Amino acid sequence: MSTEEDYRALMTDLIKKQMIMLGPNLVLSKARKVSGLTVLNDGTVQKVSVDPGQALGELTNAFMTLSGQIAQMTLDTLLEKYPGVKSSNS
Amino acid sequence: MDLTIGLAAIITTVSAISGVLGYLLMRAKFIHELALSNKKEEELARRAYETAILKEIGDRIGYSLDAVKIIEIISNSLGKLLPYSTVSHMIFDKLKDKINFTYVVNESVSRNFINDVKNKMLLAASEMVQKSLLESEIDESIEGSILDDQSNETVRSFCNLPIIISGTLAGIINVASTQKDLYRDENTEVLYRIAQQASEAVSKLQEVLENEKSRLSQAVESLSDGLLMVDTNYHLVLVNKKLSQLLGILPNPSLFDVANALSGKFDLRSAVEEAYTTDENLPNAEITIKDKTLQVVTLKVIDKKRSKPVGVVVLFRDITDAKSLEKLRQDFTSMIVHELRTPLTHIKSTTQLLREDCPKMQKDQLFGHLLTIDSSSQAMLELIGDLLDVAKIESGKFDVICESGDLGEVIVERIESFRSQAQAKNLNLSVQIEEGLPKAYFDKIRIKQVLNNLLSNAIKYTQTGEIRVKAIPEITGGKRDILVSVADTGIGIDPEEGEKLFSTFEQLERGRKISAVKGSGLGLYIVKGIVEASGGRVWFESAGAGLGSTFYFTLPLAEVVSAKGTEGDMSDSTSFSTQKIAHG
Repeated sequence: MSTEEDYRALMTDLIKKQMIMLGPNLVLSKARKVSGLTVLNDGTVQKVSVDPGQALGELTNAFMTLSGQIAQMTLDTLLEKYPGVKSSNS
Repeated sequence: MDLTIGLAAIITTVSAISGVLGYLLMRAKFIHELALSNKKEEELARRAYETAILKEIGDRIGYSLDAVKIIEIISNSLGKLLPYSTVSHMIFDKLKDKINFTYVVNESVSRNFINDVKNKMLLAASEMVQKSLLESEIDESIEGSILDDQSNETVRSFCNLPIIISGTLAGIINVASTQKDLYRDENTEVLYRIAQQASEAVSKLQEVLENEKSRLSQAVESLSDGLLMVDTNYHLVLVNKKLSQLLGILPNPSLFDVANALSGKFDLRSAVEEAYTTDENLPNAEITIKDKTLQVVTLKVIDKKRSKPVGVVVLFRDITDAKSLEKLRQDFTSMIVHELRTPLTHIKSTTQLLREDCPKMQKDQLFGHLLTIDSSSQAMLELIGDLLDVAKIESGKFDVICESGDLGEVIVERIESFRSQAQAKNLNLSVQIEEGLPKAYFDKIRIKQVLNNLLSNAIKYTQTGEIRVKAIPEITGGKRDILVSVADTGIGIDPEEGEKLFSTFEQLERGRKISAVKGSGLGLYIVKGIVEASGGRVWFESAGAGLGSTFYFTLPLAEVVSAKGTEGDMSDSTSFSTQKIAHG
């Protein structure tokens, strides 16, 4: 899997987990406000049209405003699963 | 004319169009400004709501750490901000190891709707704690509108607000609705901000209280008494290591472990219940556990502000030593009374005999009776002298007046005075003073007392064999002094007995068991007091009972003291006291 694909998969996992934890509507609304991301209703990131690292940073920050520690913990767990991905929030 | 009319018509039409366009532009501007104004108003309303809720949380939780209160306040205020069918919360009850769910029904929904809400919260919590909670023990309560099981409405919108206190998930608030596409706007975000700020405030408060609790725990742990505290629900709130040690149980015991260890000795539950019900202090109990005597003090803890009991503290004080000391004092008093009574009886009976038969007595008979009175008085005087010395040592007022002198000479003189006693028991008494033994710095009278005690003990406790006295110079740890030893082939000393040897009131049991051996048992205590006040050390060695013993003491060299004296401007003769040594 390419690194870009890793970013997309990680962001998808992050959004889906946040949807379970916090509820889908607000999480999707927040994710869709991140510039360059196309997010489907089930939380899948379909397209990333900007630098994926920047998109991940924005996405994480958006979730941190809702549930700081929970979002950070989820990101940390996912980063272990995708070692090729670097996050400015980790 | 037609042209004029035509122009006028065109101008009128253009004016009319301009007017309409102007109106439309003005209207659009007005609508835009109105929208901005509405948005500002909404934002202001959200801010006002957020401030009001945070203030209410601050006012109501005060200094408590009750996550339930925060959750209730947020839950109860939701109607002002969002539409919802149910608002529910789950709280972890760590004490009972279960999860409590409360559902407040605003719009009548079915039981299936409630179950769906519960599952969504459990899934969310499982993700947050990274452990499945679906099989957890659960308590549920439903409030508000009555459930309608005919309703087919499902959860079409929901959001979960995690409440995290000090990094741990305390609970989750769930807002659910039968309507679609809710909880996606700024109003919902306000809830998350409130939840985060409230969680942070409580976490900080908890941190302060944890620090206080930690300090209190350290104080409790450092107590020399065992202690436990139970709350009003008979839950163990506090227990220290000392209690585990006293009861011989593992550290961090459960209340059951403690009650079990006390079984048959102290009814913990009854004592706690009695403490709650009575206003009087419970009488202290005394129990014996693992050869230890424990005093048990049960006290009710009152919350002064509310004047209500909040718990019961039970303190276990080890009074074994105090008890044995008390027994020792009683035995000692009996022994002293006995030691004084014997010579006094002799004196009284002898004087009575003299009073009655004096005229008839021969001179040698009379002299013999006078000798009895004299030796009995001497024995009493010696005992009283010992008691006075002990009193001085204990009060730190025991003085020794030291000067440079020949310790060998004093030893030889003492040996000679005891030779007849040793010969009477067929004991060989030898002395070895190293040639050229340097002068020592000591109180001649007091060191004679030391030698008297050691030699008389050696003769008393030796039935066959010999007693050897030796004096040599020694260097220990760079310090030079004179080492004196008194070795015998007597009854020896058990290590356990040895620990008590130099303490007050402790006369060796084995010595007392030997009927011929009598004494106050104060001799070695006085020896220790004199030697230490002279700047020396005293100790003994014995291979065990029946294997003889050797007592050692050291005294400073005169030249060493003199050298120090030159530095410190000391005179030839110096007075020491136990007080000075103790503080030295």
